[in-house]
Amino acid sequence: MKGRFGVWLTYVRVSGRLFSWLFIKRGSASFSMKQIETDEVRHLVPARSFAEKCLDAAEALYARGYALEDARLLAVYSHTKRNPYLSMLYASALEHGFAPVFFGDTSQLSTIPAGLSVLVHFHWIHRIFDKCVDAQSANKAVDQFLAEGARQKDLGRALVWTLHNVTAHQSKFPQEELRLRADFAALVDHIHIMNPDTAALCAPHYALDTTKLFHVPHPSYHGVYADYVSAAQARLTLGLQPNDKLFLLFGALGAYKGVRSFLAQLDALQKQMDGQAKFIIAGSKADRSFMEDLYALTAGRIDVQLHEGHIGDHTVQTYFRAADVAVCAHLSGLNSGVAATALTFGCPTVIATRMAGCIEGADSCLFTFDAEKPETIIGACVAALKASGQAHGRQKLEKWALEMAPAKLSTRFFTSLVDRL
Amino acid sequence: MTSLSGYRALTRRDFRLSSLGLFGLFRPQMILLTRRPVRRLFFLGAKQNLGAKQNNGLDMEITTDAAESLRGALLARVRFFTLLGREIDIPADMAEQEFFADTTTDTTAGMGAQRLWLNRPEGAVFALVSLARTVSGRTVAVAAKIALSKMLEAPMDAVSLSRCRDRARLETALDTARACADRQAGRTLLARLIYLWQLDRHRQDLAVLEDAQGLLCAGLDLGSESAASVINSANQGCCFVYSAPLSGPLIDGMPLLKWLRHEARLLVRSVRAQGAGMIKLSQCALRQPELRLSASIAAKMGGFAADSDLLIASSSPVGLSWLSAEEIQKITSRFG
Repeated sequence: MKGRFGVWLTYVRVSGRLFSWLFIKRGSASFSMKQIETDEVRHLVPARSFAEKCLDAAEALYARGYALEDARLLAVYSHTKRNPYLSMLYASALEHGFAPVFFGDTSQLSTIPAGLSVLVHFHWIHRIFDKCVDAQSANKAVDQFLAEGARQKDLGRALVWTLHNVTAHQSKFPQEELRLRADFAALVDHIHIMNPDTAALCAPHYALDTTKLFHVPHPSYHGVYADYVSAAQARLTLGLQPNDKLFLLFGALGAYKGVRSFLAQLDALQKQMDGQAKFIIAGSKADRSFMEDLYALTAGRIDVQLHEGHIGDHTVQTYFRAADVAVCAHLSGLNSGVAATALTFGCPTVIATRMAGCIEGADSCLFTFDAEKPETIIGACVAALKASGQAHGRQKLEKWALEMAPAKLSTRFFTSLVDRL
Repeated sequence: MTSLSGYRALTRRDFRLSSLGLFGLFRPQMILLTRRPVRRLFFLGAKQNLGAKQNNGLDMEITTDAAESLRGALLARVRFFTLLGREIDIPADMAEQEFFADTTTDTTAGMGAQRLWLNRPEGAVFALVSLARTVSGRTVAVAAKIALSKMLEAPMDAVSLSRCRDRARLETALDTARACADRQAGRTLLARLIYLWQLDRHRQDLAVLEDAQGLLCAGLDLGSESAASVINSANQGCCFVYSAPLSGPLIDGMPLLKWLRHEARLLVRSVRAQGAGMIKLSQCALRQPELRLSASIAAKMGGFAADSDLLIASSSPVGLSWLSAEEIQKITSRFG
């Protein structure tokens, strides 16, 4: 009896394991709060369909007195939650007969109700690679995206592209992205550039038809971020001494930001500053390997503070009001929102010569360095620091910020666009 | 002593049984839930009675020691498998269902059991149900016989509906209300569904309902467009034949009024472009209430002559977007 029972027990155990392998272990077997939080449809599906948003947008234009023929829907790809640039660019859209509606998936374009005059405005097109896992899927995504673009043109919809970068800062599929950009540049009708040197800077990678380009510089951030904290209070908050000279590197951290290159110059710069320089590197975390590098480079340096994490809109002022100089250490790139933010807060800014063109009318407060010669950043920092205490410079920047306010630049953008249509 | 007396903590043996999908096999359970789920595999039978009104369900009484009832305190995850163990894809809202935990007072007062529905997809032979607590710092207990029983989605009276927390039954009642264009019942049901589950699709449905109510009561404010009616068309004798929507079909979840405004504008433009003075609906269009409505609105908006067929009540056989056929006819006549 005992032997039979043993065989039976073994059978139960084995079949149990087999059963367990077949049914239980597959997929995620445990629950987490995150799963529950993101599961609700509210977070995934907008309360209105894209078609309804389009009709609402058209209605907003009719309410402003635009007739059906003059009302233009601006279907925008893609939306970013944290970057206020799109809200700034479209600040005056309705006043000019354009109603922006954001979409994240090109398939949504097919749901736009007929009879509306539509322009499709693209921004960060590399977002099509977000879900790609390998080069093959990336190539497929490129083909689909270009085919959809061509289909939109066939429907008589003009394609507009705002070119933010030569390539994405941390491109997952560089070859595929270059193909995407080259073909897309040929496909679109109008290309909005912020830096007048864009065509030349892109030329080694892909060609831009200059007849398609129209230039509207980066706006200032006037009225975008909270600005009520005094410089003294901001410095106190950040633990700075009155004699400290703060150099601020602000924005999402990443290898492309030139932080490593700048940190390599710190000792030389500190010598020029008689040891009074302080450096704050503030922004959301980058990938792990870069952060490990950053930890290694900043460990043991009392003059460098690393503030990892997203900086909220009400805290941005603390950093820029406290800073003597903002440093945009990018060695590549076309435009800099950080430079525009710094100038808006009256902070002299160090920037690579190639990117300086994206800011119009603030030349006297921009201090440039040669990206090919990283050591030139020291001279630019010293010069910027000299300018930082000058009231004249601050007044100039206040005037610049008003002149380049988002609503005004938005008007310039739409006026330029209408002229081209 | 916890206020949830009578409930037992899960033991290692329970989790061992759970790993085999055998939790609660032998007797009804009164357990204190943990974040680690307990699982039970059900054999649904080899035969499938597709299209049957009956579905499998599991009733659970969920209690908490918190001072107020807890939303989404219990998460039931459902997975279906074929005979060979292949998992079958099911909609997210069926795959994961959240339940409320009532206070002990409410449970005593008979708030009642909540039902986990297992609407068997085609080819499903096994169903794996996992139950887990989702909240921290609070005790959540469940009393249930972990067994499936065939359940009918029987109609409920108004009082039961107002207390019901069974999403499937509420949505069935909502479908019935929609079919009858019973907006009052629909509003009550949607308010309860939104309160309980905060889902966008219910909010969207309520927006469609209120939009229809607005169209019926307040009508459509033609605003500046009505001024355009003075520019009457040159050729009163010429007809524009309206046979299909110009802006695309009225999709689910789109408030009728928004669609009508746009469609009517497009229609006015098209009629004017053709130099016609009258909108004539094709036979096919006459059977589509939304086209009848847009034609009547466009006629008013553009100052065109109305198609006499628009005013014939019998030609509007169906309702639309929470409006009955009669109500659509009433609105059509107002514009026609």
